[in-house]
Amino acid sequence: MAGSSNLSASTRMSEAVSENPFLLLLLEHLNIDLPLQEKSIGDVASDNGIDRDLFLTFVNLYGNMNHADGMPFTGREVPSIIRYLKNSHRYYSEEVYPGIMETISGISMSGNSEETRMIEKFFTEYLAEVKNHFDYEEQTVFPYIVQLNEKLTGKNTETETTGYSVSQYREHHDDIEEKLDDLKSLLIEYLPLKEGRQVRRRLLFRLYELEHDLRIHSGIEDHLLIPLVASMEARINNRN
Amino acid sequence: MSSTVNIVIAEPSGLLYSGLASVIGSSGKGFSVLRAESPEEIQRLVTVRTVSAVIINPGLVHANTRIVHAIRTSSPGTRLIALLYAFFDESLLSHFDDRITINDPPSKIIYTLGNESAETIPADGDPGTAGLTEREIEVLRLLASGKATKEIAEELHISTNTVITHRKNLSVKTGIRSVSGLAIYAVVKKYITPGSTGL
Repeated sequence: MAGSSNLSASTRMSEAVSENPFLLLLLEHLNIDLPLQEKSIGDVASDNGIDRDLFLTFVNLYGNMNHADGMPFTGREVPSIIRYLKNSHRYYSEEVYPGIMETISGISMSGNSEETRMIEKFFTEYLAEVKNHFDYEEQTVFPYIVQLNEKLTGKNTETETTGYSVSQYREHHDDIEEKLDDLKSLLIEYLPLKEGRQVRRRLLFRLYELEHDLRIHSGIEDHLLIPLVASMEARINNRN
Repeated sequence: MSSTVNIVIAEPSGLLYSGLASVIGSSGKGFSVLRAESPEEIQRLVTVRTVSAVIINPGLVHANTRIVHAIRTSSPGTRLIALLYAFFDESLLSHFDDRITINDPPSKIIYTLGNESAETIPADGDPGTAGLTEREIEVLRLLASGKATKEIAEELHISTNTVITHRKNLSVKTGIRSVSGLAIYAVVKKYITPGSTGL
């Protein structure tokens, strides 16, 4: 993967994108539009109301998967992180998964073998699990984090946030990458397909693209969001 | 797979032979049973026909294990299965690829034969069994049919921890971790028929 060294806030954003085109997805998940003009990474962050350190951490996560452990985030970054996560959920649900499903259905209809029917069912099950995971985050976890942040910043001192904690989120954080890995293994190692090579390659490319983005997504949740929320909870508890 | 799979039974007892032949013949797996009266006849049969497996009473070869090598040389793809109803020395049994006992339920016997036919008649350049043991294949079949760990442990008379170990080994060997992924693997490898999966 391109961009293995950490970039700085003064690096030109367009250069970073040329170096690592997956950054286009980062921009999209943060509602940042092209063209980028001559802006630096830091400028792009400031112009879009995103904490510069947070944005730089995201950019570097896209490049080399370095964990963001130990970054001194405070809580003000919460809205940007949640915006990123929600938009990427939408990207998976509305664009990536239907595309993959369409490719699988195409194989299933033309090959018509029992194995491809099973693959279709396998992927449908996977989608149901992913949907559960996304729904849980959007309906339970994100609102809780927003409330926690409002309480910390004094915007909303009334809301009761007890009864839930980020440790439950950690436990609920299922590994949704498992089935995706299985699907790739089945396609690469085991599954005979009557349909030609192109369709299998198309499907695999889509899966790799998804996997890449999902890995960053999980990295942001596990190494950035969860520690951040845990520290926010500790601050509230210390206050009480 | 519509071609028949030849199975040779070399068992002197008519009663045992008929029982086994009936179990194998009525399995619906397309097995065709041939009888051999002597080791020499086994060798002749495996030479003139494609034989997936030979079920042998080890008593027939214990005095002359060289014949076992001769059979293997005549037909390297044929698996040799010992039919056990009495104690036989492990050194004699080491000449066989697998074993069944007269107390095994018919499903276990068919199972053992099924594994071999899947191995000796690879489909679409099938690379083989990923080195799965018989027990792992048993666990795989039960997992793929939708059975829970506890049910598998009860059915195979082993502990749940052992089932979990087999399950881990299956994942390491196949590279597939989810149960539904393993079920597809089991169908592709023809360990089970699609209709018998939980999927």
